Amino acid sequence: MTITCKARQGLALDDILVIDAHTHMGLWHNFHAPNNDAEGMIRSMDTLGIDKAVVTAHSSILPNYRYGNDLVANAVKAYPDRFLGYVTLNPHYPEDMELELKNFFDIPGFVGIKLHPSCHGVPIDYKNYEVAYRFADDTGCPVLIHVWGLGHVLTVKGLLDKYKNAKFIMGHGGADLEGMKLAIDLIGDYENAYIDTALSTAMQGNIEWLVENGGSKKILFGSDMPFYDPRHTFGRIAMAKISDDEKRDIFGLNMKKILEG
Amino acid sequence: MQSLEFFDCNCSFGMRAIVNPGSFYKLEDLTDNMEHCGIKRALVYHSMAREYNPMVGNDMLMKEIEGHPSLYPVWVVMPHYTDEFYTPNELIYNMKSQRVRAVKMFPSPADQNYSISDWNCGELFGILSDFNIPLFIGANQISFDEIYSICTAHPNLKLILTDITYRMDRNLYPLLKRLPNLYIETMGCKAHDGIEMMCKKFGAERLIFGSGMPIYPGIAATAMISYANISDDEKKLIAGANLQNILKEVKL
Repeated sequence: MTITCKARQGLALDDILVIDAHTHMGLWHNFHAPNNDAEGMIRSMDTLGIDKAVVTAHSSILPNYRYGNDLVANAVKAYPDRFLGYVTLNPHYPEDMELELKNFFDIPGFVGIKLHPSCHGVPIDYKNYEVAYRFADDTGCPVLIHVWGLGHVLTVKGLLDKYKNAKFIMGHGGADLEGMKLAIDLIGDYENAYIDTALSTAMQGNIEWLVENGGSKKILFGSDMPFYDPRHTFGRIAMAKISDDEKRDIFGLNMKKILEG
Repeated sequence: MQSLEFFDCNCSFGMRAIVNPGSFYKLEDLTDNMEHCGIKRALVYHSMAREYNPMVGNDMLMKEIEGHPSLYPVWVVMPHYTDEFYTPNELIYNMKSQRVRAVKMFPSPADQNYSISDWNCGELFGILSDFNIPLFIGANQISFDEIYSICTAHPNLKLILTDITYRMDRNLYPLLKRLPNLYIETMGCKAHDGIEMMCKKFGAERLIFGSGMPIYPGIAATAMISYANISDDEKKLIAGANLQNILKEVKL
């Protein structure tokens, strides 16, 4: 049965690898996000056939990264087969950054770094982020950055030139149309550039357009769960008018390759 | 379970000012995409009725969907005081003669730019209520206070709120609790487990499937229902039976 046929029937894609490269966890101040704990997320993952989710906590991208990173660590320890962790850093606490990286990368299951320049009110190339970028460059780990619009994508281009060993995931694929157009160029031009699919209001035909212009090898399934529900992003890929091989790349094989170094 | 058969309450076709790459505007592309999504029937409006003029767009709609039995017309309506649109009685006469059973409004300043208060639209809402004609209106077109005012002043008017977002539950839940004539289109029910939560708290009867095509992807909207952790009966209600029931009650 094709992936489209399974998705039309609401069947979990349990025969292919699915890694959600962009998820959160916990409460959110600005709106109701039900069932936001590890168990609630696992129920959603099982419904769809998501094998693993890479997590950054909501708390970490807003007031308290210590609380958030601990929340993720607890989930990774409790469900090592289902969750991987991003260490999330806040550049307003520069004195903590190196220690936070060391402490959490010592925990099995922490695989990358998450930065949210918009929530933390700084540019992507803010000087205090250099600790994180150097760490990623030294280790080759992925850095998931909230990338929203053309200006952000242009700044990422500078990072790609400077830190060639770090793997940069442009969250939300650049978000708006102009951002996405440049992001597509960057994933073609730079070996270490990727985009993810997390968008609350993606446009008709968006996945097909991304694959047609950027290929399937540098696009990662990211849902933003439980910031919002994963099912619509999942459906956008599962029933997209692209081949099943391309869907397998996006759903899991590309992220697997990143994680394997 | 078998694939669901969807009846879409929220799609359109026709030329628009902005067409994003990957999207479409032609009628045949809409019907092709409906088939791909498993959408068997749809209420459709013409983009010209939103982006240019209701009278012109509604007329184009009727001509262009002729010969497409799976497509049911939705007219975009507005107040009549400037003589740009039918009076309420003329509207009913024309809807009846052309077998139109649902209407939409686009009152926001960026769209057709009029107040939706009763001093402007009350007469229109009154006659829609009299004939059980459902009104579809986007959450980007109307405030929560306006929804409350309309639904309390016109308790027999069925208002289907389309294009909600995942950030609205704190306002939508109290409205759904207080307003039995308020329904929610599912395309934007994207709060985590949002479909399940609304079914549990308010019943599947309050949810109506819509795709948002060709602006938003139909496959995303169908996946929200196909993969929902609710019963098959609830899925069937949301996918099409609720909309079918609302249209059956229209007295034209």
